[in-house]
Amino acid sequence: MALRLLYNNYLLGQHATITATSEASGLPASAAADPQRTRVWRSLTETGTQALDIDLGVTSNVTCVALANVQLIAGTGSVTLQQRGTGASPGAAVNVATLPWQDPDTRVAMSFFSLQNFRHWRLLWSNDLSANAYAEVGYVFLGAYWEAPVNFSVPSENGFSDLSIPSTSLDGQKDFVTRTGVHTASLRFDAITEQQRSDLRAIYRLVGVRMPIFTALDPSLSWTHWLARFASPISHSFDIAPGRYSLDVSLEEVR
Amino acid sequence: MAFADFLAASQRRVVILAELTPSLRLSGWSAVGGSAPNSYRITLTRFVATAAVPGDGVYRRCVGVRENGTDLSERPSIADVDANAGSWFWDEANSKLYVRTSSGADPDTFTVYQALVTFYVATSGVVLNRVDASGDTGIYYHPWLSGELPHLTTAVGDLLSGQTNTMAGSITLTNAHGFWNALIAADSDYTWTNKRVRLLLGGSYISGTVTELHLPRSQYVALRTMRIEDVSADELTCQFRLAPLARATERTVPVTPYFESIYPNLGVGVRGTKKWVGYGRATIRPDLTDTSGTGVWTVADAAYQTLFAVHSVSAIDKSTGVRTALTLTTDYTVDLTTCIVTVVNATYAWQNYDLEVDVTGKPDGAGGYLHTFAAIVKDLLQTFLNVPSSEIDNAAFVQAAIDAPEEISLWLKDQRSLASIFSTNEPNFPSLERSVVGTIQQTLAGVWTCWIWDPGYDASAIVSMQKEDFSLFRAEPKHEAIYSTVHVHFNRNHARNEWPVETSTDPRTTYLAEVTDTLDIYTFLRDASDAQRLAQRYLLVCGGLTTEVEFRERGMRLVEHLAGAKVLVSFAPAPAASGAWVDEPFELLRLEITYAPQVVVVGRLGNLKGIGRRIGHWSNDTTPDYSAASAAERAAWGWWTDANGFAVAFDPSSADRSIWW
Repeated sequence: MALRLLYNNYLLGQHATITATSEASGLPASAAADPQRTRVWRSLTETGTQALDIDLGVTSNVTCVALANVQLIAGTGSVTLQQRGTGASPGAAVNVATLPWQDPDTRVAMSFFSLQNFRHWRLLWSNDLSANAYAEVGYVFLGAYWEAPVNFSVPSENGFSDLSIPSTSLDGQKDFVTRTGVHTASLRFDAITEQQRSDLRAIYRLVGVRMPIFTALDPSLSWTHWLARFASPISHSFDIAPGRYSLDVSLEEVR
Repeated sequence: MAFADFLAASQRRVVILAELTPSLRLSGWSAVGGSAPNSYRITLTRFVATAAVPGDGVYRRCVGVRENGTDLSERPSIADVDANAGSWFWDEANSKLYVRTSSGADPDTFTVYQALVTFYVATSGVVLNRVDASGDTGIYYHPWLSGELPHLTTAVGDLLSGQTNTMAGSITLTNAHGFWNALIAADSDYTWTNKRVRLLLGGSYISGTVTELHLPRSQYVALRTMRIEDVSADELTCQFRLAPLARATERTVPVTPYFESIYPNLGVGVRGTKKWVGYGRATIRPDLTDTSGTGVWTVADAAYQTLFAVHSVSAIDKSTGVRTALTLTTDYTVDLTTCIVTVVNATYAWQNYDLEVDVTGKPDGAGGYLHTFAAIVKDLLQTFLNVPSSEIDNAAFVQAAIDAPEEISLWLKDQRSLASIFSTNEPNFPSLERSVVGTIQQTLAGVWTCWIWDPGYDASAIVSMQKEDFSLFRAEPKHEAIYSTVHVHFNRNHARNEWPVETSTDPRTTYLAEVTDTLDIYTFLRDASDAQRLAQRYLLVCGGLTTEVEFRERGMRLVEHLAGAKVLVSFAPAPAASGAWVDEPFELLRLEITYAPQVVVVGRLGNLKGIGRRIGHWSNDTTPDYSAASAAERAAWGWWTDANGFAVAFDPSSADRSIWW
């Protein structure tokens, strides 16, 4: 499957609101719309289920959901995306997708599904053990994904860096100041169409290097599901064949 | 998970927290009424809404309320506030702040009412529970702390002068989001000047091979508490220039001048001078403050103290200089509360006579008077710097009073900064620290503490450093600052400007080191035997060679320490008779800690003039016999020896090598 970019987060829309079944005083539900993944919503420590309720303000086409830094209640159970209708008030909850456990490396959980057109949504944390614990999540994406019509070329450069800093004794023993490692990827798209070039430029214009976006290099591989940023300009040259471009994109995981 | 485990780990993720606490001016209070008739309330939200941060905004926590210059007491409920004057309660969930003022009046009638609110930032985004293991108390520290962090330098000068605490630099917060602009603006309701920033260090570490353990908030150690001097921002950063809390000791004492507006009949030369401040017993010349009658003389500043006793008063003939002892009631009266002596016998009227009084200064409130290093330092801090009890390490002051019971006489007429009174080594200026070989400093958390320097040590209670702990270790034997004679100046007679002197001389130092230099120590001591003992101690300290070591630490085991702390060092090869140091005691003479881009600890060690291993103390009932004592106990205590100098008969290893301190 081709690269998918999740860049247009409806939660960031001006009419969107997020509430929760409960929230710790300093960690409100609204934090789920903050791309700063370490800033979290946390529920109160209770024995029941917990949920984030999302009102997009308008009925919208949704094809995917992504969560960064999600914590399940008592470390087990699941998070389920539900739709709650299109009315002025939320209606009954209907399951849309159950998210997989987040990748332990990338700390992202992502789910794709057929187009859903609703206004009200819920993310429901199960509490399978009826544990007295809390639910937590960093950044939440709800929207539609963009998929590259022409995928990037393979093999592509892909790595994971450890940026830790050593401190060395006179005798050679080392201590390390740990820094968060990051995934990086350098992608080359060969012979893409004018439309794809235009789409990528539009996305880049919108988010630049500033705004984190969820990416799935391969939607079927969870370790390629990142919260990332563009790490460089997107560059392309005019090739021999008119209307076809080779375009380079670099991505770096958001720490 | 403890900070010690974090330090010991070879893989650590360091996180530095900064908790900034400005004040927020509050106005527009409304009476609660009903079940809380004495209380007022105002809206105080827990989030500062800002377009810079999605959602509700940036969390701030109310941590105090100040009524003009007085901090109110926090209470756990509205009912408690209503029942107690001068208290507050923040209903965080409902964004309401409740107070009951000290007088019961509307808070809006006071000059200013402020809430102290804390903002939380760090070098990395992290959620920490304010109460360990309580997820409901989680607080997000925004990853906005970047760039330059304060560079901490603490130093003790050659064991003979006071400690210098400096904290240079500033903290820089990211501001591309623009959050700080509104808060630091001159027309905002926030006040940042002289408000506190608390810096803490912690993070996570790897346990075993893969498990990352995160320190709870309670295990983060305080690097320093500082005050904000200035703040500025641009489109990228917001910079807070910080100053050490101890800079407050630049405050001068005495405080109160004499002017005609209060004293319309001042004596000649009194105008503009300061009122005496005095502790302990001394002979001084009081100030003539009322010439309308036979003379009223002010002995001390009644705004800051009363007197314990006026022992005697002498009249000094202005023309002949002859002193005449006066008789209480017949010739003069005394008011200990207002600190004045009134001459009632016209024979000794001010026109012809000056006065000299033998006086004991500020009482201790328990029937005695303040006269020890610890008691006087504590009173100076609380009286002239308004340091609250919560910022005094009372246990340390109690111990210092035991360790330094010498009688102190501290009477001040000419202005000096508190820093000078505490620790100067200028000629003719005594200092409290040098009077008892003490140290006064603030802890990492901003609490005032003190101790009396002692070259002995408890090996079980101090850090032991090995060769692999250092990435730089450069020993430098020091052949300077050796004295063969010490003069201790004490018991100053302020009336006659006279200093008795006790002297201690070591001819052995003269012959060995070929020096005849003399060290003069000016003290607030009163007793000759105390001064003689001090002279002997200083002679021991400054009469020998010392070795100093420049070092850089590989890890950060010393990050919680300040200069003056002791450590044990094992290192080979080393400039020692044996060729190596094995658990050799050292003192941190200087410690420099930088925090960004990574924590680096460098400094200078001194080997306690080579006498650290040899100091003995009187043992107590709990001390075991020498044969049963551990190495640490043998290092700390002394035992009676036989005629051969052995604590254990016929055992040369138990030979007496101690120096009684």
